[in-house]
Amino acid sequence: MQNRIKEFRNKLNITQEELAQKSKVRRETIVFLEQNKYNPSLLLANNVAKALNTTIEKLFIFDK
Amino acid sequence: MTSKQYKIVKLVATIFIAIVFAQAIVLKNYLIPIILLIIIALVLLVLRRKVKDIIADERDYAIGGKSALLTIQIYSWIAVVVMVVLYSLRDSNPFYEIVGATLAYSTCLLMLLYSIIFHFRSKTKFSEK
Repeated sequence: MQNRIKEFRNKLNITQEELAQKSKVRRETIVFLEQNKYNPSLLLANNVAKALNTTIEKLFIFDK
Repeated sequence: MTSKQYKIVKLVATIFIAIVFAQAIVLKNYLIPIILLIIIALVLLVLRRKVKDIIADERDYAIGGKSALLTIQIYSWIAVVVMVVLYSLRDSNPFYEIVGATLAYSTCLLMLLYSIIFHFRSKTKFSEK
């Protein structure tokens, strides 16, 4: 599963640490998410989407 | 308190406990280290609640769970093999049987605990914490 977390984060001009705090996870988790090395739970995906002022559908690209 | 400060406190406490346990073995006093261990565990528990940073998140729990499961499996296999070897050599040294029995019972306890906790967790509402 791919995602556009880095793209949205850069648009809002926030750091990984800030996004991690808003999403209530560690910065390392955000790093792994952006590198597509970790698939988040629904709750985390929702938290990250909210923190980036977007929706899960726009943020995550599900492989067909 | 930050997570870095907590980790330093935890490291110092661990080293201190190790020193006290080593001395307890030499002095043959086992009550003080046990009491100290309980006190330090409670202190660390209180300090952990005061940490404002996130110490562990869902990814840490997921990795920890998979790592623990694999560790139990590998340890069980190694323990069984070592136990069988020790039992087969018990005629050459009587202590081998004691060590083998300790390994066997500790492995059984480990697997029993894992089964109980797994059963309990699967019945209760699953949450990330």
